[in-house]
Amino acid sequence: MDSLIDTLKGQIIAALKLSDVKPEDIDAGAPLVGGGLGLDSIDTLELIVLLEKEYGVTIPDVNVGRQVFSSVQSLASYIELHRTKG
Amino acid sequence: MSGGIYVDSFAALLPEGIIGPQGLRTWDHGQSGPRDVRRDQILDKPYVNFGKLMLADRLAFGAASIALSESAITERETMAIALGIPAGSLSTDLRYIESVQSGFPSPAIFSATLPSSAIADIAIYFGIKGQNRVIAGNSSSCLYALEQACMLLELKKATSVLWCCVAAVDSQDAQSPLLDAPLAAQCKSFALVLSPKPRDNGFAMRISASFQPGSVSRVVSGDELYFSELFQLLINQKTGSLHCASGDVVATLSLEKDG
Repeated sequence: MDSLIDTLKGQIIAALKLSDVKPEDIDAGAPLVGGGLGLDSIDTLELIVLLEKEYGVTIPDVNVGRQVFSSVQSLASYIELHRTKG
Repeated sequence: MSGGIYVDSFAALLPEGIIGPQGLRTWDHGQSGPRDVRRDQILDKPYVNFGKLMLADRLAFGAASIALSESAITERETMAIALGIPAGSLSTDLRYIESVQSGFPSPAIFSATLPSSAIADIAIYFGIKGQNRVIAGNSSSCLYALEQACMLLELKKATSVLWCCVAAVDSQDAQSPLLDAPLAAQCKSFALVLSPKPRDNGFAMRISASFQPGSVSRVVSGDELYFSELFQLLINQKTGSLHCASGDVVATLSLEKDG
């Protein structure tokens, strides 16, 4: 799980082009959206595309999305359960 | 068309370097030109969204940032923005098509295909809350945007205007098979902070633009070419007039000194 969290941090930085952010700056338990990373709704959509592209994971509805994107930790947990590739 | 409009500040990202009221700063080793502009070259503080900016937005943001940082005008509530993008957000359009072809269309790139996204980034970051105008996809876009900027001041719709002109077609894009017509590779941006009052530091350059109907048979690049010349005059604080024939307009841009 820790390895996946580290991988996800790197993928989030790359996918969202978060300049001035390093993986160690991201708190795995902190809120992804509305937190210190300054992510917005477009970024969330970009992360949904990332999940599907890299892990074959889809988000079926908004409620699941809210839970999944609450932190990197929850994102990793969801991927562990539902991944079909990567 | 306009009179009594002053250049309060100016900046440009050009192939030869970054131009501002302080002069020219050439690009660092390894930087090929405006497309490689770094955050630390245009902003003092880290900005987490800088890396997300698409080429056109980054170029507009860069020139705007430098022009605003050198401007004496701090009132942003009533500052307007007028943006001209001759080739639209072509570079971003091409990136978006690439993402579609990859099977995973990028929402972030799609949102940046709107030319107005540059204005949004600038307005949000710098707290500019006045009216805005975008003119895109026309080879006279920058001249028209300047006309709009002057009009906003003359009609007192704004107390100052940030005018930006962006050409975001780099050499890579210019060779794209997705383009129907050859476009000259242009990757540069300009920004002017315009005010109805002269600055009190002795820099009192008045700008005016007069437009006449005209016709140019074929234009392969935008009117940003003329602004390179205009900015040379600004740097040297020289007066002069430029006769511009671009797209469907003929215009005369003039810089005069007070007194």
